[in-house]
Amino acid sequence: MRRIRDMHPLSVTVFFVCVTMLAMSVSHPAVTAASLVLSMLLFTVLKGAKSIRTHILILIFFIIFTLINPVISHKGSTVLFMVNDTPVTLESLLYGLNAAAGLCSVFYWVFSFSAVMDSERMLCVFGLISPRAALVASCSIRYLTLIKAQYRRTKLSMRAIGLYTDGNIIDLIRGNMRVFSSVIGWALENGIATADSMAARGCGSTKRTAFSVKKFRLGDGIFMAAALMLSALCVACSALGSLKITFYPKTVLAPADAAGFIGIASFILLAVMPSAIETGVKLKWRRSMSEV
Amino acid sequence: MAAIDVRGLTFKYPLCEKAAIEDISFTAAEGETMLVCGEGGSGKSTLLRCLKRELIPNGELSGKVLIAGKDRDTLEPGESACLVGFVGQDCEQQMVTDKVWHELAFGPESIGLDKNTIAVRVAETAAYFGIYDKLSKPTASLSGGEKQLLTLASVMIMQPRVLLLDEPCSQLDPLASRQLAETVARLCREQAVTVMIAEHRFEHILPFADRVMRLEKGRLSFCENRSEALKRAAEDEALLRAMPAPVRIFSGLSGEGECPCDTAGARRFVRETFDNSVRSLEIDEKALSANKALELKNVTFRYEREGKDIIDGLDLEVSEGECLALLGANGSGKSTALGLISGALKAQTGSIRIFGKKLKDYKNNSLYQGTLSMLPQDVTALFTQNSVKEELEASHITEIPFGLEKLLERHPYDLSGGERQLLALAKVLAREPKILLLDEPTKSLDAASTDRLCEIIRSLKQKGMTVLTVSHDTEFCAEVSDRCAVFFSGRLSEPAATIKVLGENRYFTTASSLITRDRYDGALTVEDTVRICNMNRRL
Repeated sequence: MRRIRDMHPLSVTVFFVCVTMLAMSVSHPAVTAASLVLSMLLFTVLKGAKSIRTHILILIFFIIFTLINPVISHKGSTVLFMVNDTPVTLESLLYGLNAAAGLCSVFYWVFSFSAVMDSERMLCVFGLISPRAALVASCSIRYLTLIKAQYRRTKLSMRAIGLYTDGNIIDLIRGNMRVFSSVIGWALENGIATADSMAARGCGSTKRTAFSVKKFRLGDGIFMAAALMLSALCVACSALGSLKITFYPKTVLAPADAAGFIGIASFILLAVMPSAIETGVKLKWRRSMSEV
Repeated sequence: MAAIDVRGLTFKYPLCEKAAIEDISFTAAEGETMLVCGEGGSGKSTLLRCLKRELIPNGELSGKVLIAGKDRDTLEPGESACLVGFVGQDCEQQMVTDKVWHELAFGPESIGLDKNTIAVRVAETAAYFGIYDKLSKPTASLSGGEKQLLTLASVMIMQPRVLLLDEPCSQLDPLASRQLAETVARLCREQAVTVMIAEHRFEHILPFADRVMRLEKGRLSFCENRSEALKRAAEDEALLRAMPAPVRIFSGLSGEGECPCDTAGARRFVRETFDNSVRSLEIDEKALSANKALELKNVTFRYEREGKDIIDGLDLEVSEGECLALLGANGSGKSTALGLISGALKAQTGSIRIFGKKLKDYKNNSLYQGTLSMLPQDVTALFTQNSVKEELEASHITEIPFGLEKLLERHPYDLSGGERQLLALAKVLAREPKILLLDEPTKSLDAASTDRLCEIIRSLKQKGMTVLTVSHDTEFCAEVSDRCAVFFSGRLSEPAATIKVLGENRYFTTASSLITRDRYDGALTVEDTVRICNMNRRL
């Protein structure tokens, strides 16, 4: 077993796409609650102490999102209290709570995804879809860093002969315009040379291979298959109507049945998988290190 | 069978009356290294590009080119890409992807090799070029020398029979260009690759070049083996100027026999031909002005809060009217120091005074109006307009300096390295500074342009300008600077007279100094050496 970030990027991407889609589309409170708790857990496991700032930020978001709905939506039958002759209802508060939990869990899933993926892993996934897309993405990443560096260099050069100042807003705009037009000229010039270099190395002569240093192993296959199966199960149960919830005019949950239970269980299993793997691998390493 | 066989190659750019290269014919054998030389605009780049099908510029082309016996135009696309490799000037521009391994794999990916073959090729190429430990790094994190080496490696991974290099060292410091030249030499020796290399500084390439091709205004004036070419160079002033110091000294002293092309050979020649009864030239020592143009005290600077100090307790005094050169390895903080003095970067501690006034008291850009100006390393950063004329107008220059009037309609990016430098210098001097900062001003200049720059700096000095330059080019420092100082761990050594610093150090020194060392004192330049040797002629 390997850590999530060492797994094949394709399996990792498939997992995160599945779990995020489900977290967005299934609104059963058990699912949203599980999604929030487990995504938070995964992010903490991945980032350790560094995750605290993100937790605080998301908590603030969570509170704002929860409170916004009852302020703007006055539907629902259970009035809690009146503000300026407009009712604040329980249903609308519950709706806000549920939606906020779903949304915040999506944040966590996306943050966790970006914590385990870097540009190279993204390119590997792109490469499987289309080698050309992978090349374009790789060039773009390189160009962005290049242009940023050139912008900085140009600004310094211009500042040293007094062509760039940030004394007042007009000078600042004028200076940046100057830097910008110089960088544009540079980028165009640079682009031609890069295109030459690509052609010289046979770009466009035949169908590209998408080479990657990653290997798809058995474990990656099992992980991906499990993710797909559990998601399919959850989607099926949801399609049967067992994971439905309506908030207005009164909060009604779909009656608890076997399908509902299976749907919730499969989602929880899916969402707990990466944290379980991470923790398992950590423990295994600790044990094998202490044996050494 | 010749690796390259060129017959009657002529190429004309659209809208040009004259052909860029005309009726060029030559052959190159397998494993042969050919140095292509000629002034800027003599057609070196055009010739190299016409040999590689993918890079032929737009225009009229005639003549025949055979690569390894096959017509260049009938090759399969993949075969054509593999057979001929091309490395240009600017390594930054030639890199395509963001990771080192991907850059290596780019060529093999493009010609559709299978994944296993690509893996093997990447592994062996990375090992051969010594970049295995950098495979997973972003390409942007490499140093200039490493980038050029990677560019070469990612061309060699295609297993070319012919390698074309168009001024590959022009953006590199001397150490990195020597490393690149040595790698190319190794490729010729071990892999029997045929190499054509166009350069305007030959010192690292000449010792292993088998033949020298000389282009003049688009025509082939000769293509001879090295010793014959060195004889020809004695009568060819422009070519001679571009030659390394041993050749110029030998020729300047009208030496007889085989011309040496390295320091050891030149030392032997000087020792065996000349006495040393006169040990040194008379030196007109100029006293430094007591007025300080620049004073730095205990300056400290780092780029990031958690980073290390790039400049660490730097002290420096520059007198009015002197030229001080700062030497030092890459990353030792030379350019950062210029950034601090020019006010582009802000020092965290310490004080910087310019003409006795604190740097931060120069409010509202007043520093740049008639006090201080800086020529950056990459001068294209100063260009914002579409023609030389507009550039000059934008800087309010009415009297056109440095012979730029011939270039008024050209785009700044279409100028040669030397011409760009002059245009940038004109823009910088338009601010009428009293202190001029130069960051690697001779980088990517050919010999003639370097001479031109030296002349300009000397005449500025005569008018009382204070010049502070950062340079790897010790020959240039020997020509213009009064004092030198060496950067180490964020600080500067005590500045001393150039003649002392370059005359006594073994590595921060000039070729002429190494050639005359122990026999004569203080001969730093080719002219000095020729003069002192002539004084010591045996009767």
